Amino acid sequence: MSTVTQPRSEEAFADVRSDHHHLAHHFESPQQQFDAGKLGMWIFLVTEVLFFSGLFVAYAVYRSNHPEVFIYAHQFLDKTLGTINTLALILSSLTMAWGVRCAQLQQQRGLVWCLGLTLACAGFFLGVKAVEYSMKWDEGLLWAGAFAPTPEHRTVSLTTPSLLILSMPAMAGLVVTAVGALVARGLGRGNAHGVNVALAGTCVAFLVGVGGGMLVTRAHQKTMATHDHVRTASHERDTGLTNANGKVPGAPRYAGIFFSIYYAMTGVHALHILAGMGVLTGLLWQARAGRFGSDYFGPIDYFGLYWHLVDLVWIFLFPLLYLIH
Amino acid sequence: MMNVTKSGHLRQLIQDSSGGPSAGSPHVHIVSIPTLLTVFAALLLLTFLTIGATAVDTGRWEIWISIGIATLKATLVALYFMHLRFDKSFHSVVFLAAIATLGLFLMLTLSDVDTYYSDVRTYARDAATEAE
Repeated sequence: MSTVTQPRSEEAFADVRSDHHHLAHHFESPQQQFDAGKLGMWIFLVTEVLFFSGLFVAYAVYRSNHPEVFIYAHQFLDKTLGTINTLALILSSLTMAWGVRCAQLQQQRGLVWCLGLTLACAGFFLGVKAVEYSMKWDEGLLWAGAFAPTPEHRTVSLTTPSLLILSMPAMAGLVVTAVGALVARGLGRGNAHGVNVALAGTCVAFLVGVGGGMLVTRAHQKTMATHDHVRTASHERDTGLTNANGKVPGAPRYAGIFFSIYYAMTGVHALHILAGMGVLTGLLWQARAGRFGSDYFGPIDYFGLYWHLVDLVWIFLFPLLYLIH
Repeated sequence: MMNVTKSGHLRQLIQDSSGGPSAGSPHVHIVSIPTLLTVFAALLLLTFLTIGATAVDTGRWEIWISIGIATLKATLVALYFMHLRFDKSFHSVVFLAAIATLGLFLMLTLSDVDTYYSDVRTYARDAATEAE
């Protein structure tokens, strides 16, 4: 026990450190470093929960005051697209949790695959979201102040300006990363090649999301077109929601505020996905370089917590926005 | 030789304090693949359950049913994907404190809205009658 009170010499520390290249100088052991980082991440997640809680409170107040607006607006949210995106995020949560396991077990290939698949799921999610947003913009379903729904439904295609603008980053990204992958392979840079391939795959996943989203909306529009006339007429008769603010026939007063809340909640969530994709790319690079292992997997573990929290937010957004009836 | 002995002691110390299997490696619970897949399947099932619930007219219970299912899904994610079940309970305390604060925000704001909104409605109705 005398060793406990013995002052530790510099060389002794240096010797332990040489086994753990990732141990920052102000930590005594990898365990201490990991615990401190994890607690820090949880505290960050607390601030995230509080940040989103403002949006949930806005939703709750508005829904309790104006339930008719929510009943009116839900018909503009595509339940099928919402479901597809929910499944994509659940799958990405699984691959992320699996990735954490791979990092802890020092399975380098598995880790790289899991991170790449998580990125691809995120890309797909944003692709579907792009179709949803562009469809609403074209129909004038904007935030309060710009809310001016057009009566006729338009067909979405890649030449729809709003969808084209939203898809451009992915198209440009695909070209850049595909060229990057080829160049990196030519130069024999394995890491750069791998990361570029993963990013190109993510861009493809985005475009697959756009394509799938378009197919779903077109199928819906076809069935809606046949019922539209009957539905609108009976809807107005049943609810008496006609011309309430003298501007938009059929739309209840304040309907635009629903879309303000919708864009704020899903937009902030999508920004979190985008930020997460940026961090994931960095982690993928480091994972390819073999930086993580059973004595250093903190960054993967912490990022996993963040990713799951973003998934948690969507788990609540999905029923609150898409499943109103 | 002296150096080796010293670092040996230090390693022993670190190992004792961390309780880890190997010197210096952070000790964590590694979630098994069957557990991950089971949680994934449960999340899928609950997603389809909450969609299926919209086909049934449950009236004012609708929102509570969907929030209940969402909470169940969130609990599964937090316990298994976020490791809270196997983690230090302090992390659960930190997280639950945030959720409790969210609950406090919601309750206080909604009780405030509930108190005044009937007055707002009465006022709006009176204003409409006057306009006629």
